[in-house]
Amino acid sequence: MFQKARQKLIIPFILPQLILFTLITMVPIIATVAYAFTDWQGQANTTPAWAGLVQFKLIAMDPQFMNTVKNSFFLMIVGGVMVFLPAFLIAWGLNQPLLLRKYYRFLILAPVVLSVSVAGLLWKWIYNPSFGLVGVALKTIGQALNIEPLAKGVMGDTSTALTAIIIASIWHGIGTWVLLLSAGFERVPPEIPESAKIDGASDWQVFWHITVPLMWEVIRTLLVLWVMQALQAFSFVFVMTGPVAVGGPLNSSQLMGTFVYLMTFGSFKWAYGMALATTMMTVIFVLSTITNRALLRETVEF
Amino acid sequence: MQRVFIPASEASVRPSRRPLIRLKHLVIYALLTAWIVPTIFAFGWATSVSLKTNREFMGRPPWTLPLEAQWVNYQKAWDRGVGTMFQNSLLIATISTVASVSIACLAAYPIARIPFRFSQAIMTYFLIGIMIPYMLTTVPLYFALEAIRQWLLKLSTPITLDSRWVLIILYTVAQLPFNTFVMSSFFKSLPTELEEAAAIDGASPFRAFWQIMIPLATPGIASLTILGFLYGWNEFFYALIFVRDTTQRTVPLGLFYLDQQAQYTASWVGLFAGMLIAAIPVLIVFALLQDQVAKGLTVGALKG
Repeated sequence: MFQKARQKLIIPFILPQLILFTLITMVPIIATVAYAFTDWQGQANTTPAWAGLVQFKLIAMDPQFMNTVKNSFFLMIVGGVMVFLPAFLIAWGLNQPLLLRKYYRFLILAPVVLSVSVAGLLWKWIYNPSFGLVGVALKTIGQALNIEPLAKGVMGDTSTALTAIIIASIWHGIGTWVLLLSAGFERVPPEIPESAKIDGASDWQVFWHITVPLMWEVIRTLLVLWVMQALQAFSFVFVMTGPVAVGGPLNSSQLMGTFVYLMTFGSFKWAYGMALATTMMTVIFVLSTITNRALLRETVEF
Repeated sequence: MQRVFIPASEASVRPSRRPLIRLKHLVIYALLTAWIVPTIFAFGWATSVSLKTNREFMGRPPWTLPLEAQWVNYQKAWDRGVGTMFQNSLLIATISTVASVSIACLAAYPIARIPFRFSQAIMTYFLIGIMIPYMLTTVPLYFALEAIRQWLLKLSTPITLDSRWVLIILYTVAQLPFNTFVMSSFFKSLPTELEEAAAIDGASPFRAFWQIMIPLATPGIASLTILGFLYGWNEFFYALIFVRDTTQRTVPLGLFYLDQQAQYTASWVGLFAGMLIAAIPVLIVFALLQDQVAKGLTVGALKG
């Protein structure tokens, strides 16, 4: 009786989401993948014709795309180290009984709530060699020691632009990772490290042999999340280099995400851009699966 | 050195056993301080610039403080578009968050608590949405909206497609998969007997949902609301693609264009005032609700 009456709720409750999600997420995805196999480009009213794997072959031979893959991987690996190392230490530090803990936490997390355009523009100006707080200092050092990228401004040199952008985006985004890692630390029951300490283990031993294995599952999830996010990155590069020279200078900070944007809304190569997006999704899916599998350890139950 | 076992309760009344300042703690303080110094400088510098004149900004070194605080910069920035952006962002973030959390609560409830044949399949279908890069949906959506725009023109109706409503719908849908995932795990964690008890008391299934389940799910709803608002307030990509009219720009998009304009109008201080106008409300909200926001940012992410 009770179950029967409840069955009536199912359809009206699920239907709104089913319709919205299907129309605005699933149908466009299928359309994107389908158009990747056409030759569509230029004006919107041109009729696309079936082109098979042509776009994908072009992608495989496109040195510009290979460059974006290289940059995206640089962001994923170097950026990953630059995020997780400090995030881990900060989360561990914030987990200790500190004076002013709340204030530290606020200042470390605060950038997270800013918009990417606020954070990106702020850093773009901080780096500015004529007016920026850091830029002017770096320029002076660069001129004194004859280091060209610093004298020219880090955003204007091909060897430093991407790293400078990564630093800005880490300043902005580290809070989320700190919070997620803190939640991981909190899941470790405090009795276990404490009893190890009583048995004579040093802080480092406790950290490396007890805390890390106990929160390995959390670390693994976060690394997979990082891989997915890093490979999709778009906004910081766009805000800090765009809109005229997106990915500049000379494509040195061009990422897969910004390249897809440039090919579609910048050059109107719709099919090519959609094939790029499809390729990108495949790369993300494969790499996140590999990361997930590679980091699989026997879980420590507690 | 002999180590003496002290039970936790006794240890806590003898704080001298665990001094707050030890070498380890000094290292932690040094580390955390090293991390927050750039943040303090960045915010301090932005505030300082926003209170300068353009001539000061260009003529004096960046680390100097404003000679006289130009509060009028804020007024000017607000009047020159930041006010409109602010209202647009507030409207878009609020409506899309309420809509998305409501729709997701509705959908998550039967999936989590009413056994039916396709519940698992439907959940899996929605979960695909969490993994999808936004690049993959944009072009078809863009052309679908262009088609609608053309069609409205042809009908020569006075109705035009307001980009703000486009963003509201896109932001609502973008958050649905994640919200459904979190709400369904939240509903699953509540005891099964709740609705049965309500049914015995004569409540209809809808009343059981509305008056018992929803109030119990408030912590989850609160977290998702905070997260949703931050998403709507900060989102950049969809706004970049889908906003046409300059009066319909959101704060992140508008600031981006303000930066472009600053090259020509030479009004840098206005840009910095605009950035602070965008940042201050979220920073205040975050300062007041630090724990809730922290919980919101953590929610669900560790279960996936």
